[in-house]
Amino acid sequence: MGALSNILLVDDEPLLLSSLSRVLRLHYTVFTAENGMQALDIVQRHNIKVIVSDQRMPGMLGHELLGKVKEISPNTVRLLLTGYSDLDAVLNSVNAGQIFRYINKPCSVEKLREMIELGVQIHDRIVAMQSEAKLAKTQPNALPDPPATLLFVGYAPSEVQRLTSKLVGQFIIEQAKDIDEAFAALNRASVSVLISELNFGEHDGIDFLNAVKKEFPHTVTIILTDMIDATMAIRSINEAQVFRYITKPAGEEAFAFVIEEAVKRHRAYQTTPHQNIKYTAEAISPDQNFHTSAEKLRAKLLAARIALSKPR
Amino acid sequence: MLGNLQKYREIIISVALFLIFDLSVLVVSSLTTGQLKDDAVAVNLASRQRELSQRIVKTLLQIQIAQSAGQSIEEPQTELAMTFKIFDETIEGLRDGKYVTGGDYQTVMLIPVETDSAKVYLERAFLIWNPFKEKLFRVIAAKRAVPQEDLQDAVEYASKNNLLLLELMNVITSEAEKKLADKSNTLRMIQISGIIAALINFFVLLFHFIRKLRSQDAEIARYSENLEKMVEIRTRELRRAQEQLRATNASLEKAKGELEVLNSQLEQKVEERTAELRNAQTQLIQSEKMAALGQMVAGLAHEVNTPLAFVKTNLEGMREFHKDLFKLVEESEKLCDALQRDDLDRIDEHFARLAEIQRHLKESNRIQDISDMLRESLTGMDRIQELVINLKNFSRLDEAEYKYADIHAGIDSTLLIANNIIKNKAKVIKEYAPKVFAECYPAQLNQVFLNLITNAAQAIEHSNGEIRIKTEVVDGYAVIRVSDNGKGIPKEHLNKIFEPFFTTKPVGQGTGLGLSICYQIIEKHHGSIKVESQVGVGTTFTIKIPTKQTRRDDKVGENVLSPASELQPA
Repeated sequence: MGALSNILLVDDEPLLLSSLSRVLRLHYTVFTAENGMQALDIVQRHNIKVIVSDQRMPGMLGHELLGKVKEISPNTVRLLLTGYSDLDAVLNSVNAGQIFRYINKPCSVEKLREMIELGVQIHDRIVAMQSEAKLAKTQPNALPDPPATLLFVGYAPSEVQRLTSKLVGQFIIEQAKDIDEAFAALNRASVSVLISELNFGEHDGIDFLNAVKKEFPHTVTIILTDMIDATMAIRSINEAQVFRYITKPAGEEAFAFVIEEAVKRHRAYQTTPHQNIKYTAEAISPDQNFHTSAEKLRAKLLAARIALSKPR
Repeated sequence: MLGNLQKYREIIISVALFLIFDLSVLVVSSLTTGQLKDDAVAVNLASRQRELSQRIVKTLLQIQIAQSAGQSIEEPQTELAMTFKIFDETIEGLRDGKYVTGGDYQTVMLIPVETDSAKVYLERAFLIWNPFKEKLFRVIAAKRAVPQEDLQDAVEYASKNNLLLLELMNVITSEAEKKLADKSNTLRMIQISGIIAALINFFVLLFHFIRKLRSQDAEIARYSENLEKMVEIRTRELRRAQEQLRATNASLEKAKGELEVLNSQLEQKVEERTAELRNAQTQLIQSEKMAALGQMVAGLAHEVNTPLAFVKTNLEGMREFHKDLFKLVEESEKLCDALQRDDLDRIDEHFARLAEIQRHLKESNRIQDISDMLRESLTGMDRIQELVINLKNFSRLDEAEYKYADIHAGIDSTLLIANNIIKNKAKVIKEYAPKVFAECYPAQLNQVFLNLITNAAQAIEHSNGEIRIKTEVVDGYAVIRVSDNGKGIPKEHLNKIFEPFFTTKPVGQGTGLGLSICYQIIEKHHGSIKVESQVGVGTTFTIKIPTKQTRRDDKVGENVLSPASELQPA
């Protein structure tokens, strides 16, 4: 089996660290840190495949730590343990930490182990793809990028107009008033960034994004909503790996900046797919969070695709 | 001033004219009267000349008679001399104008005759007089007796010329009289014309004033007419106004009725609204209570969650590890069984397995782990128990509501409750006085402490947060200061923070009742709560409550938060 994978647990409660390391020790080399600074030190010195951090810690909050870890060690898969939902923290981390999963405390050892194992596998896979990519890195894409397509789902045209006032001319802007239209649009053209509302009545917004992500893993998704809900935010990451969760009202300039970032991310996914954590995770194990309602939505999506392809 | 002068100009002019007329008449008549007197003297003296000439003749005759009779002529001679002298000076005076002896032998001024005819007559008179004078002079100059021829000459001359002289004197006299009459006529004319002018002036003035008065009368009449009209109009208006007033009165009366109805409706509405408001207030207070409770529960949940998490992890680990122990026991039993049956093969086999299990246990440090897990789990359980005890302490559910309580115990239990809020934000520095006790409702005070401590933690937005809690007893008051080095409260908010519903937190994150309830609670303790703050430096809340309550009658238990209590801080 070889050397055990390095994992890092960060929590300000030493007794929790000791209890977790006892149960994980058999399968991993467990590093522990009681605060963010210690954790960063360990990340710098060891090849940590998965980091599990508590959100609430004195000095540095979990999502801040994970944001820094991402910079130091981009391949480290980041998990955030959240005690009781702290809305601000969750929303901040969604947009800043690039977190793979949120785990609610208390979490069973089994579930935690499962997550860590998936994280380790993702890490290994990313590393492997990176080296492959390095070998194949011979064709530089000298071609200028075609204009990216933005798809807005569930907004009034006036709102879209306002939001894109700073983006006119740079992107192709598509609008869909509901999920069905969105599916049709997704099948018609390659959508770089999908900006979606969360509330679609009978359909669950996260499931919709999940279904989209499953079929179009490289489409970057952004939630723009006035629904401030930590559970939704956590699900949006855990299930649909959304790029940003933006609460209304959004300023045009800030929005334009987010869109530019998203388009960059989309290009990165296309050239180096291993960066797409969802894509990689999907390749390792089918999505365990894929609900029946998401399944139905996916079926719809596929049906739309078939319907569109028939006339050809 | 000038206008006044203007107004009186006519009168002034009239009076001036009147005075000028009268004065001129006066002056002229006085002048003329003077002349008249002179003229009268002239007339008189001229007239006297006639008599004198007669007397001269008479005395001449007397002298002749006396001489002829041999009598003394002295007396008539003297008379003649006298008469001669007066006549002579008078006739000269008439010609040249000079002072002469007047009627009463007084000297008067005689003016010369003026008219040409009189002058001619006077000349003729002189022609007669001058020879006569010589003849008379000889008579007068003769002593004792007049020579007969002289006397005879004089008498003859006299009888011959006396009449002519007399006639001449007559003419002159009548000339003078005529002149006098002329003059007095002129005077009369002047006087009459002066009087007429004055009268004219008077009548002009009179007419003028009458006209003026008449025009004023007309004006007054016009005014009074206008006034009457106006009075009439005003009367009509007043009548109309009165009617309107009456109408208004009626409508007011009606409105009053309606108002009364509305009033009663309003009262009803107010009552309804009050009830609604009270309801809303109750709900708000309830929601504030729930928010506080939620905060507390959330804090506690987090506090409990951590030990719970590792206790659970330990137990899950022990469930796994327990399999190894179970195997150990199983193998031990099997070994015992084999030993009992003396089955050597089995003994070896089981012994080897047992040794393997033991080696595994030792290698994986299971035994130590298990004892650690048990110990740590118990620690965790202790912590949970401590939290539960603290929760009980905080809420004081099992204690008397009102008691002489340890303030520090209250703050400490509050700090534990608030630990999860403070922990990541600030270091708590306690500066406690040795002993601070106060008569209070401990649970309510804890609510105040929790609110202040939570606010302090929320105000801190940097990593060097400090919450300083200082207690002391000053003059029978327990003083508790809660300070933070957070962002501070802007000046414009400072006087509002104890007002109900004042909040700077986003909608849904605080009812704005927290501090207002704190205020009430402290007020019910007859204490005070004050705030000092500096933006960017920090905030200090100072609570003072009497250690011994003097008025226990109005101590308030539950109804601090009841809707009936006033929410408005002073």
